[in-house]
Amino acid sequence: MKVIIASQEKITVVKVEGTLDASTLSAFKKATYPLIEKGNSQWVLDASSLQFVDSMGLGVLISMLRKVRARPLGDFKMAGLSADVRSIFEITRLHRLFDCTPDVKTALQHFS
Amino acid sequence: MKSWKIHFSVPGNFSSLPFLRRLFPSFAAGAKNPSGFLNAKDCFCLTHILVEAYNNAVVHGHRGEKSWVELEVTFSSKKVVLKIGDEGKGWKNKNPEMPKTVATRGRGLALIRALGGKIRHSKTKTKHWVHIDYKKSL
Repeated sequence: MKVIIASQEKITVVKVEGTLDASTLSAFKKATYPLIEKGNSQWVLDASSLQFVDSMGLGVLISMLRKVRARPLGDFKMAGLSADVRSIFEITRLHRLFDCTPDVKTALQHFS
Repeated sequence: MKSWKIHFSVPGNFSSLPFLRRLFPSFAAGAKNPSGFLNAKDCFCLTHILVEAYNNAVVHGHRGEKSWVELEVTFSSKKVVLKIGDEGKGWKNKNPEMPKTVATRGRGLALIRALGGKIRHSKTKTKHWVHIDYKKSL
């Protein structure tokens, strides 16, 4: 798994390439949690290269969502979920919890 | 298709996940693999079921870094049966439901069921076994 962090003004875009599962979630947390602690509260997950997510990976995403939504104007949006990953979101009903957008550009627009 | 099975053990830690994720795709039918016998939907569901069952065995059922998780996969014309053995005591909740959306835990077994896995349990003197029956799509 590769985590690439990019900031677009006040919004942090995190791109995850590969797999977010029990074997990779500590690396994801290490890359993102310090930024949440620093105050970054508006996030977009660029999931266009995310190939697989398991229930433990989903748990980390939900935990992150809860942390940022507890702050004013905080949110964590999903962008570009593949059909396979989206189906896992739908089975677990998380597509109702997260704002799932087709791409990063749309997700950024949803913040404005 | 005659029934056949593979039986193997992997270390009881998450380092085995990349290998396990590749298991069912290696049996997928396609231009590169004319002898493959699983379609894309079954590959997707079985891979997720295997990963969730394995995660559960590692988190709840194994004792220490040096232990191993035993797996058996039986293929037949209509179904695939996964059997996973760990050293835990088993689960209290035999029919887990999907938790509330904001819950950060407790989705693994519910996800297995939602993807078509029927869960059974058995015990031997030393192991707790989870049997998951998956009916192949046509």
